[in-house]
Amino acid sequence: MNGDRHAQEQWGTRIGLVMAMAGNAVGLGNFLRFPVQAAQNGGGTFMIPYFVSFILLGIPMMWIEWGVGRYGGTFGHGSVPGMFDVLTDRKRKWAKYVGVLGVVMPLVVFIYYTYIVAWMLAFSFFSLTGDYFGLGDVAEMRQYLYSFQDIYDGSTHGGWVALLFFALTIAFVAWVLGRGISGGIEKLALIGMPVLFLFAFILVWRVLTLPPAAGTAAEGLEFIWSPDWQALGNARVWIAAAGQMFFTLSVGMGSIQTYASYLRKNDDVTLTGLSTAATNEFAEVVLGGTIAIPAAVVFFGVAGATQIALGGSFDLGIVAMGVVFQGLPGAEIWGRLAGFLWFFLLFVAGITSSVALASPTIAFLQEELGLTRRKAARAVAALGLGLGLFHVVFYRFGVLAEWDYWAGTFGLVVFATIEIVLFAWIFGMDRGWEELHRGADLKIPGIYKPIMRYVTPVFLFVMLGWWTWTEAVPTLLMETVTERGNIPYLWVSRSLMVLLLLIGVWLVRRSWQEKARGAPR
Amino acid sequence: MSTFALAFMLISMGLVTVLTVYCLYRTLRGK
Repeated sequence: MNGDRHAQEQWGTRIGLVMAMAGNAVGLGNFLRFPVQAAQNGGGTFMIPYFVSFILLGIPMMWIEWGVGRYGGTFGHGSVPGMFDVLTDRKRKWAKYVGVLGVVMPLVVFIYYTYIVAWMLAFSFFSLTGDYFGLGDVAEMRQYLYSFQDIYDGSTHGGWVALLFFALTIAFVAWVLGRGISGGIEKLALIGMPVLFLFAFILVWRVLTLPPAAGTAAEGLEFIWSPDWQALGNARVWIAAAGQMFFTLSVGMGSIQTYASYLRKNDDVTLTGLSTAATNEFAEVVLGGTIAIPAAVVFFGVAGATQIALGGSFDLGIVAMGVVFQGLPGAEIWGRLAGFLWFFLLFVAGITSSVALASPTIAFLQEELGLTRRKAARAVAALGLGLGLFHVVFYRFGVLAEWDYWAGTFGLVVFATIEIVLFAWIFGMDRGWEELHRGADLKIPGIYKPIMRYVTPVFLFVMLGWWTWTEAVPTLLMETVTERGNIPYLWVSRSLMVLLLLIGVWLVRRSWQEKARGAPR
Repeated sequence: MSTFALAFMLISMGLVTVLTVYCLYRTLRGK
């Protein structure tokens, strides 16, 4: 039976579990998105709603998702449809269909995210070979990046280069996934996370000891940490901080639940869940905030770095940093090495998250189609490569940003809102509290019970309402599209996501009907 | 760097670091 097959897989060690969960959470968002969001939203002012969001949104959601995952796992479910079904004691038919979001969203994000992770692998290679060295200003470096991203622009590389790195990355993810929980995912995390932290510490040290140029590293830190008190009353800053909390902790996705489903019934979730959240925050606040922005301020000054940060994560993390590495003393050796450390750090951060994003689909295919793990890993690789080609070929039309908005931004809040309603109000907060504390090594402070029942859901509803009104509706109506010629491609992009959802719903329906008939699978 | 920004940064980074070390220490001890 599928439940038995799921139960055969377990985490090998507790440190392996923490590193794998931290690897899931620590991703590109910690080193690229966080500094840009902080810079765009009032610097130190952003940090106040950010920490409030961590306490009221991030930590409760992290505990809930660990709890939901472990609870579902005890019934043999490794993906969200089955977990939502048992949360409602199998009494509400819609719950399992809503749970399809927890499989399709991470799959959609996995596909385009892995393509971005592949860019980091490519730029690690380009740094070592010095491929972009000689492009000494932002405009030239930006053109280099755009040419790499756009397979029709052969001015720096043939279109096959981006495709090759994407295929290599997908193949690596599939290989890791095929090796199983303790033999693949856990080993990757046990090797990757120490490497990530080591590289990050070296880069922090290098940035803080950079000789002053257009600015200083201290000015860069001041830029991030000086509060603009007027911005604290701006709702947009609060929503941006809460949104960052979703990205960075990977909550509202479905991947934490799948990882937690491989826990044993009485394994701790409270202390281990808090450990992974804290480790992620360390990577983000202490390390992520001390590399890209301070380095950019040293080379471009505060005004220049602000301008670059407004251009987004890739302008800061790839374009500006590419110029920074070329300006380091002894650039031919140390600049190349620093470039490699930076981009490979991003690659490691991204690849551990990619593996986690693909895991719900693997578990789903094992449960609902009865595939073995290796076959499921191959199927995900084929799906990732096939649908990923859509992004490789049509990147210039904004199809990747479309998926990122619906599945990687708005969808997270929708999913988390549904999940907390199911957990706190339908499953019941008293049962939920008891479930979280089964085998717990940490007693959750009692104040978190009303927070989970009322405060976090209200926070989520407000956020959902705000985003729906200010962004989702205009985005849905294509009001924000400046290149009108892109609209047909964006509709195809949306249709593919809807198609995946419909296939997921159909598979769940078929599987539950077979279970009801008692058919062997 | 202003004193306020420096203090805010050090306190925030310090709290996050203490929380991380404390949680990881307890997790790895198994308690």
